[in-house]
Amino acid sequence: MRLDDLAIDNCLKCSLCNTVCPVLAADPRYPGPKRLGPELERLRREGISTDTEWVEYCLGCHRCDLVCPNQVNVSEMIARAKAAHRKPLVRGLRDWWFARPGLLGKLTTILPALSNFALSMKPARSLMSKLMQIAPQRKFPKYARPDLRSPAMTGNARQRVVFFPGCFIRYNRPGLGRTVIDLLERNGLSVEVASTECCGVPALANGDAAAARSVARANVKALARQVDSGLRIVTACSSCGHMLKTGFGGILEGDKKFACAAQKIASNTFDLAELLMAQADAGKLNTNFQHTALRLAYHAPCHQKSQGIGRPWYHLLRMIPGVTVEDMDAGCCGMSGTYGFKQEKYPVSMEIGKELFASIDAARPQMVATECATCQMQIEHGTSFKAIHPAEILLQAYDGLAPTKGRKDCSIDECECGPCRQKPEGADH
Amino acid sequence: MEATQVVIIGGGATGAGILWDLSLRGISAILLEQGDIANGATGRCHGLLHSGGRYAVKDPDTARECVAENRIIKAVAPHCVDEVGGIFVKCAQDDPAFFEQWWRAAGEVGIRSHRLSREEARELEPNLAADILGAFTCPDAHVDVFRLVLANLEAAVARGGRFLTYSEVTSILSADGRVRGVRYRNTRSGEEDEISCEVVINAAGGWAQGIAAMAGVDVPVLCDKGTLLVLNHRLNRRVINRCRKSSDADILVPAGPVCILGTSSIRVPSPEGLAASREEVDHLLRLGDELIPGLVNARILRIFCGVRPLYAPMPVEVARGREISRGFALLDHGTRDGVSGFISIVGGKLTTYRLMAAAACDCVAAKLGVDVECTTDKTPLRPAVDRTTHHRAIHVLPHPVAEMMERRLGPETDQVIQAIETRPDLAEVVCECELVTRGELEYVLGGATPAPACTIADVGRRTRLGFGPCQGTFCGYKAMLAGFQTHRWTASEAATEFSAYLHERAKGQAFIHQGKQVEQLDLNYDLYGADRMLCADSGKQDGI
Amino acid sequence: MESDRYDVIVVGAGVSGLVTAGAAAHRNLKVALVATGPGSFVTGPGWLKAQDILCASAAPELGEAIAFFCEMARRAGCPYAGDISTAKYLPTLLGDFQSVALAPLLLWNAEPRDGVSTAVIGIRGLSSFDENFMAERLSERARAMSSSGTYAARQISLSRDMGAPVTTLHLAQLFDRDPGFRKELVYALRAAASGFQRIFVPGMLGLASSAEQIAEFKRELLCEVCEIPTLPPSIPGLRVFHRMESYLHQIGVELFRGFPVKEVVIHDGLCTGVRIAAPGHAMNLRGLCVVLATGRHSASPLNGAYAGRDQQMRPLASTGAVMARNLFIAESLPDSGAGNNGDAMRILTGYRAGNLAASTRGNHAA
Ligand SMILES: Cc1cc2nc3c(=O)[nH]c(=O)nc-3n(C[C@H](O)[C@H](O)[C@H](O)COP(=O)(O)OP(=O)(O)OC[C@H]3O[C@@H](n4cnc5c(N)ncnc54)[C@H](O)[C@@H]3O)c2cc1C
Ligand code: SF4
Ligand code: SF4
Repeated sequence: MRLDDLAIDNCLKCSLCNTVCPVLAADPRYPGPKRLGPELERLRREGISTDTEWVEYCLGCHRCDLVCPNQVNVSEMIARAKAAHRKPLVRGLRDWWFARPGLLGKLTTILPALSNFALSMKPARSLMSKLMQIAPQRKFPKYARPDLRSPAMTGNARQRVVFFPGCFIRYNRPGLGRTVIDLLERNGLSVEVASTECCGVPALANGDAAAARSVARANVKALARQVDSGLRIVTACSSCGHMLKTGFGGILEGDKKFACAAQKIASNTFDLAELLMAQADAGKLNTNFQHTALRLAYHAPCHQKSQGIGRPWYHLLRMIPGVTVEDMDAGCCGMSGTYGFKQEKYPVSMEIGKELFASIDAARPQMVATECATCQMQIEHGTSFKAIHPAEILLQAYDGLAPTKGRKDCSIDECECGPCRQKPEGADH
Repeated sequence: MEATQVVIIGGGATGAGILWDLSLRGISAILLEQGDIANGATGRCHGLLHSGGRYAVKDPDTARECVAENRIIKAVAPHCVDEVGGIFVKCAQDDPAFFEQWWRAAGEVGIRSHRLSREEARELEPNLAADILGAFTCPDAHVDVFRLVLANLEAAVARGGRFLTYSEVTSILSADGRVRGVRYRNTRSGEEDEISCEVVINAAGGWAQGIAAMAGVDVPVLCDKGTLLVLNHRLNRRVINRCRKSSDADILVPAGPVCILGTSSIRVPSPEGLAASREEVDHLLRLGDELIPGLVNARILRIFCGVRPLYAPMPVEVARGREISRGFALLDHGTRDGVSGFISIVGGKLTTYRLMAAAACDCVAAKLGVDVECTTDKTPLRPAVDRTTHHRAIHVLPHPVAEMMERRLGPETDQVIQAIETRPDLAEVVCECELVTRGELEYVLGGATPAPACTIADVGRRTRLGFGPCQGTFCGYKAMLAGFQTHRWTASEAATEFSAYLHERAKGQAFIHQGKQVEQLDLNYDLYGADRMLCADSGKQDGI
Repeated sequence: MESDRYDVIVVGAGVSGLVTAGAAAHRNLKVALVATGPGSFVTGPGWLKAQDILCASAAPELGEAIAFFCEMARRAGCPYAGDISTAKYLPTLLGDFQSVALAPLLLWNAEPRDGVSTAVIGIRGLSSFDENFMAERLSERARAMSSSGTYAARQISLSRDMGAPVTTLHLAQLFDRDPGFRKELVYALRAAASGFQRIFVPGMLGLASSAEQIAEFKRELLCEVCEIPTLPPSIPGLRVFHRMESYLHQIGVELFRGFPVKEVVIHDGLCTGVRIAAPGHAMNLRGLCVVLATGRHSASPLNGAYAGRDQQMRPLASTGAVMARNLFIAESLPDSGAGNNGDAMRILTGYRAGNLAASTRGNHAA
């Protein structure tokens, strides 16, 4: 109970939040943001037990928060309820594991090749689906050796920033991390890589408040010093950006020692594109883009929208001569990190994605640009288009390289995603 | 013309308690209430089941009564009471001598209490001001007034008692210095009727003086207006009292999902046409903010006023509201004024309603020659919900919905659950703030309950429908449709009922000058085109 | 962070903000629209009451403004019917009739008509709408207005399991997404409509459905169909909002959704932009002028700290001085204190503000 948290009083019960909730649209039995958020919150504060399994179904997409004309922090209330929610054993175990992507990252990166192989095997996947209730239709991202390091210092004149890669870039896509660093360096910034791993979104999304808190504290400890010395933090994953900017989703609220530092980190965190756009506004963006003939569809991840920074990638990509970008603006992709991997949530996840898939299919781009790794997975799972991080397109445009178009990267045995099912017998993909 | 042994005038806590008490003693009685249940002070009070702390220093007798009644009510009506506990907060601004005086007095009258340091107090109540000096605990509790009155009435009905709502007593019939009965008018239909009886009990609270006048006797009752603010959500877990000589805005009571701040004390000429002024509201908020900093910014759902019916045998000019004893008076007009068969019970508190009823009933029993002791202190008002009903409830309803329903309906839950089992559409939650299902709504509108609702506002008093932030804007509409669908009203009657309801709800919001509730009211305006500045200056205030 | 320079920043996406943004964009201005939600569109059916027109009738360019609004709505795919000199009685939530001057096409033909038989069609399981109530009320009210039109209630059942209770929101979402659902609906409605010249359904025909979709739906129905208002969320109102918003998006208006403006930056009587309360750090938007269309509530970044507005709709400080020469207030009411004088005033002031913004840029260019 926090008196300063009077946002609950703002709700006028207009139900607008319900009109944008992707889960409610996919499954009308979902009680919806209004019920799970401000309505039940009043009763929770009274001490009535309001626990319901439905809170697990909230994506944490923040669409409800964004549309609310009265600034009710709907999804934060639901996240708190999620943290208090009790799950059945197996789901509890699975989600414990999902809440700690770094853990699997550490384990698998010791022997990435072997574990990638194991994770992609059909028996392994069906075993996981049975034991852990993980959707067998999904493939796991590949793990790589985590070899993302701070580049050597290049002269003192440059402004330094801290790059916060988050666990996905660190463990699964270190190459993307290097792209980001390169991009920043080509724009006159020298980069330091943050030492911490996860931002805490997976923990929060899986209702694991304890894990979220400890991750958040570790991050605050590590980053506070850098922020204090005047460095800005740059994120390339929209979920990391969202987490850092919202003071770790309010999880440190009331934690006197950390809350203040978290706030400072929040105000000094910039999304990569946001930073580049700022450079552009100040006339400092390196615009030596080569002509690149490319038709793109752009999907703004929910956690990008929830940062309230406009559409910087959309504008940046359009600065590349020859590139055309169509903003899909077709709602949530439905993946929401680990959500789409959960067996019981898979159907909802795919139902939510339908609208986006349809818009992409209709746009028929050469590829899809979106900065969230799990949005990329979902788009590749639900359409036949390849999805990549816009930073890669931007970087390659400096060198006149077009990103390899081709097929999406589906390296899984007997993959059951739409396009793979349709592929002719024996065809390679 | 009907006949009964006793007619009770007034359907507040006192009247309802009397009906129950008489029924237990096997005395036949009919209660007449001019409005709906708890239409008077009972429905417009804090709902604080006093521990006695508030009167310990000034009025030890009343305090002792509260100590005893507090325990009894918790025991006989647990479903009406939320045992939140309470604290008396020592504020830096207040007289330190009073703190010790309070501590001593509390011990003397038998209030269980212990001392809390500032840190301990703020641990319990994190929203308390940082500069408080400490606190004392006490066994204060919140009592749901509507549920309490209903529970008394329903228990009485099960024992043969009867009550009529919307029945205003218009005259008292008497002959040869003896009261013979009453004449009453149905305030909804306008029809009139009479009831003959041997004894009439005047339990009309603030209206008692007027009722007494009907029998030609004078009962000096002073109307002391108190204004209360209902805040949208709980800012406190337990009752917060300010430890000082009773004054304005020194009690904050958690009441269901909301909390209630009050109160003022202003002498008014009559219990009708009460209104809160802007200054009064601002004053209360300012004082409340001293206890709970930031409270001024909390959303007010509703503002209402009630009158404390204070018995003032001394000249009215010298009596100041809070200084008159909160004790009650039982007046036997036979011995006092030579009008036999007529008694008045006035003053007192909600907390002591049972004691007042017992006193009145002892007197009546003696008159009627019935030799049965009062047992309301030992007889539970209603049985608990049995396990099987509970399990069936959580099978067809989400947990919190079932929990709220059980709290409200008690054993009657069974009937609603039965209905839901056969018609799953009844499980729909129509009032989303208070989690009222369609099943419950149709139940209180239907004939199966001993106390059916006549209006949408009545539904609210029985279920809390419309007591949340929307104040009936959305759920009231659904209740209207339910009334239509259950053939309670024709379409045009339903629409008329709903307009009246919106009007009534808007009155409680008319004194809120700023903040979200004003916007809520605007939304109401956008939807229904109802007048936003509705009767800011006229009409009486209605209950919570 | 400093962002692009916009010709005009419009704050608020109620009817007033949408019209401002539209009017400015039509004059080739670079427009940013900053908004948290759709204003009263979420509660209302999107119509303009005759009395609203009356409130604004003193303004000479009212006709022009309304015509612009209608044109914008037409282009956005949510056409309106009516004009400032008409008044029709349309059914309300309570089954009364409201005098309306302009309404979305789908609502427009619901006035009492002599000799016309109308079926009010409900959907089984749909909560907070009752066709019997509506039909009974409308019959009564129509009689009272001495219309010889008749109303009868009908109910249809949809085969799919919707998960009880059904809401208009869910039906509208299905209508948008699922052609199969539309087909089923047409089929069921057609059966229920047989013998009637006109049908009324609760507002539910899509949150974003286009004029073509609706036209096709109507064609297939073989009879007149009108929506009637429901409890919020109001699907007809939201449809107008969605269509208009995406239209603005299409013609190049940049939308900043989700976060409120917390400050209007004013230096020496000149407004340079706004600060948006995004998480972490505020987002600064710079613009040549700013139009506030946030209504009178807490949403206003000036927090009601202005005493009135001048002829050019600029806010005045309590001293009577203009707060900023390039800051405009487009709303229905700030001068009148309390009371709501309606959507016509909102459209009018929005239209004016759009034009004022254009002349501001003109001044800058000169
Ligand atoms: C602001 C305020 C706060 C309070 N807070 C508390 C508290 O926290 N704790 C506590 O213990 N006490 C509290 N009280 C005191 C308490 O509310 C009253 O003492 C108690 O409710 C009185 O109940 P009653 O039944 O005697 O009178 P009422 O509840 O006033 O009942 C009288 C009834 O008689 C009916 N009536 C009148 N005339 C006629 C007629 N002609 N025919 C038929 N019926 C008629 C009226 O409609 C009314 O319903 C508070 C009082 C006020 C005003
Ligand atoms: S949370 Fe916001 S959008 Fe949702 S009902 Fe409340 S006020 Fe409306
Ligand atoms: S965060 Fe997203 S999924 Fe969760 S309630 Fe809000 S809109 Fe729905």
